[in-house]
Amino acid sequence: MAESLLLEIGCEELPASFIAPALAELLTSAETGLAGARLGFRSARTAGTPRRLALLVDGIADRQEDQSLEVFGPPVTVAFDSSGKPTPAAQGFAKRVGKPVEALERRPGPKGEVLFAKTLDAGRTAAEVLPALVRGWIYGLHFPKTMHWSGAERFARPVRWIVALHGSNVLPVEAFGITAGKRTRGHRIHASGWADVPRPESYVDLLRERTVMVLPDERRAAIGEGLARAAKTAGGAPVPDPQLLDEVVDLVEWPEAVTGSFDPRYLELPRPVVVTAMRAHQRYFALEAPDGSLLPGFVMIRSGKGEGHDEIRRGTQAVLRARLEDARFYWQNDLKEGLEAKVASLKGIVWHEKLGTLYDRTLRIVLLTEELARALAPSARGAASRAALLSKADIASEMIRSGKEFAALQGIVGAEYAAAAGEPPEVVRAIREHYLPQGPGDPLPTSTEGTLVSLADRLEALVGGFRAGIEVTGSQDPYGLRRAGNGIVRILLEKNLRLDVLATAARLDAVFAQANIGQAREEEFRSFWAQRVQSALEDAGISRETAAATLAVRPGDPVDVLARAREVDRIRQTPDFEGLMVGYRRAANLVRAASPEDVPASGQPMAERAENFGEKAEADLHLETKMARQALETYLQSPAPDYAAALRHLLALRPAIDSFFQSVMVMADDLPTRRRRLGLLEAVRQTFLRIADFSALPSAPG
Amino acid sequence: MTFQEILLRLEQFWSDQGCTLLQPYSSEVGAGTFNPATFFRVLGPEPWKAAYVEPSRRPKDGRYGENPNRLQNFYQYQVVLKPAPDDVLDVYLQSLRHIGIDLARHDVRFVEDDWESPTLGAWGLGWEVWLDGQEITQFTYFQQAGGHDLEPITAEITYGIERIACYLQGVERIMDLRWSREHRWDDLFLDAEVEWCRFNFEKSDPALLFELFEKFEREATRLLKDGLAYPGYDYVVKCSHAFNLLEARGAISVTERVGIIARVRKMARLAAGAYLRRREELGFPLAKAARG
Repeated sequence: MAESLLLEIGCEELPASFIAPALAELLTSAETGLAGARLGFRSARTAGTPRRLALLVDGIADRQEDQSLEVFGPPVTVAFDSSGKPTPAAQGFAKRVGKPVEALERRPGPKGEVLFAKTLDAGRTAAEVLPALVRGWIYGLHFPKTMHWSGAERFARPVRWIVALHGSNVLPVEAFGITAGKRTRGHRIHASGWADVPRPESYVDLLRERTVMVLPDERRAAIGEGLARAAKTAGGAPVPDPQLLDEVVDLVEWPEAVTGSFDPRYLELPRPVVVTAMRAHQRYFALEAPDGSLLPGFVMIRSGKGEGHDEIRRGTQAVLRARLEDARFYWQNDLKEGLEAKVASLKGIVWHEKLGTLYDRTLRIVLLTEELARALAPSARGAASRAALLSKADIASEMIRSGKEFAALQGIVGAEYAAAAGEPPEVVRAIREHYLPQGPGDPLPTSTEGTLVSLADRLEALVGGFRAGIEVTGSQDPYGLRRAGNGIVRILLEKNLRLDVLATAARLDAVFAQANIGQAREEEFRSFWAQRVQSALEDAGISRETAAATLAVRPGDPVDVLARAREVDRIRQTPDFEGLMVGYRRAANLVRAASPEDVPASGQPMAERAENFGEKAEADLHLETKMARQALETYLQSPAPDYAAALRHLLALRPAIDSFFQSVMVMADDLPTRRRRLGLLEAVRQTFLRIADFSALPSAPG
Repeated sequence: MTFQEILLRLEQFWSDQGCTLLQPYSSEVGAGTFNPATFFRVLGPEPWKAAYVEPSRRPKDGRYGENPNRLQNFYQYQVVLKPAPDDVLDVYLQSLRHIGIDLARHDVRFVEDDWESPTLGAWGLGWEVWLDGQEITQFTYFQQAGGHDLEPITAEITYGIERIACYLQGVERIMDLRWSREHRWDDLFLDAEVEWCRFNFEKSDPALLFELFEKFEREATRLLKDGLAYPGYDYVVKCSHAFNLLEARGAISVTERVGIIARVRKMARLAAGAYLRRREELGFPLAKAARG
């Protein structure tokens, strides 16, 4: 009869965030482990709370499936002596496969015939196979952080009991110095004694009777209901918070909602501050009225059931009051001093030992914001500059410096202080938004002012970071420089803002240089920047080779690079392109291989008149290149270059290039002729290089 | 139940559990962990069970007696059990019942907390124990101290006794606690609390404190290199307190902070090393005694 299996690892309270991943790992180990052991089963699922990780498998086959094996033995030459009698090698093999020597077959091998046998590996019983499997699953669990408690073994928290049941039989499993049994424990407070689990099927109900809802989904549903009911009584709805819900599900063994309230005077505090006080440490759910305003109440989820709601309410309210009181203490002190004064306090906070204080940084951000405003949005300059000046002031506020849960509200709190100080709304919004985007999926600043300050903030951090010698390698990015770079690229691309970031960075770099701060690392910065744009281009669907070739030319302005790369990618698909490249590569290779004195510097060779060119094809190419170059320059000077048209001019050079190579001998013996022809090819190359480094593109296969 | 009765009950409970009852350390510390009865005794193979009250000084946590829950000088009840018994959490819950908390009528929870003391070079895993959302105890399985891996593992239980007393007495402010039958907390300590806050935040002399830090550091290093673990460690503790005062005064920048913590940690390492060497010379006497 197919029996079920129960494994329960009883622990001291596991961190909430460890539970779901551990259960997923346990399920995968079990499914692959059983399949690998040829033990069929009907279904497997997990259950768990902070105090237990459990696995339930239904309908495990009684035996492993039989397995027929093909076994190869020793060479026939070794297996039999000269008289044809079996040697010990043959007898040994016969014994191993459980057959008489006469029953052994022969099969050709790479070095002659070998002995061969088909055997049937009769499956062992599940009861025999399971203990080792189960033990492996227990030890196969991984956690972000583990500890010792006694002995040398490690787990997330101490393991205190193990249940391993196959049907009604205990499996002989030992782990962490504990012998598995059928004893489990209920809720720590409400049903603290030991209880025997008679069979895996009774596990979930038996725990339910002992105040443990062992299925996480059941707890989630119960919390949802409790939350809705409690919020309704309070005349509102819970502020949606899926992250908090996930956490609370794995913080409790038996969820029960308890409502509480706080003094409405704390609603004078900014909403993010109040919500943070409730959720960050306390894991209370905030409530809001139908009009969206915050209610002076909350719902907490206790672990347990029955009596005591009044006691719990009193306690939870008192804790929250202390936290809100803390926030009010910071808030009022900060308001007393004012945000403007905090700017001066930034002089006392070191940003980086080589880069000075946060005040120094602020001044550079202001400078940069103003420059960016001049280039991108002159009308936003005043408000953006003001926002830049105030942008870091909240770091000197008590709310942020406290190191308490509110410290996570940098920027948000600054905006609240700015609003309280009567700053104009666009300044307030820019302060709030200037930390955006924090990551790839994060929203961008919505306002022009916020965008300018965000760009300036990131660029200042980048240029400064490079001058201070901060390295960005592999996964190492302690100062978030890579994220800052990606943020700049994203803002410029998604908002279609034209900015030569490298030129702007170079001007900022000069500011650092004037103050004798750090060292210039222009090359490293360029290559860092190119990598940031490269990955954005690839995200936008540009092929890797096109992105690299395009970035080899004028990489500073991501919008321009993307527009060029799109057209290069497109032209690469056209039928003429590969033909063009054959000629182009030949030209580029000749120039590269020639000795330097043979190649006139670009820009100067075309002074000669057409009739001075020896061959017609040479004169034609000269003329065509010159015209293509002129057309190209006209397109490039436009604020939004038409790269499709520009590239058509390059494509149109193909016949001239081809006929040049057909009829002209480039490496002529006569030096002036050689120089002239190489100079012409260099001019061709330089013309192409206005768009991209085409020689970096791989030649098409075939 | 008065504050002092709660303390008496805790003392009785842990005495019954076989703990040696000790007295507070004689120098300013931020937590009972700094008491050599914890910081030294968790090191090495010798078993150890002790309990004591520790007045804890956290200069920057002061609120001039205005915040119902925050003080710059409060009391911890510290229990260290080495090796950690298997049923240590149950015993701990039993201690809460012993001081009169009806656990079934409250929300008791063990919330993950990775404890770390960068100044002591110590860390451990464990929990904050919550009673109705209030942290009333810090429970830690020590993994490392003074940079040394620990074996056997010590369980450290640190009760925040003012908060527990607030519950038991049904008051929301520490200031309203009844300490003894005669006196409330504010009768006894409010004046001092306000004065200390003024000192910590407004009146302390950063120049003097920096100077003291340097001198204490030199003395600690000199003594510890001489193998005098206890006197040397005393000066480490003094350094740590000078640092706490400087921080409360806002006299330490973010980058300086990291450097100063590293200096204290270096001394704590030296102290742990000196202590361990001395115990080894003595043949780890408490381990011998335990083996009988």
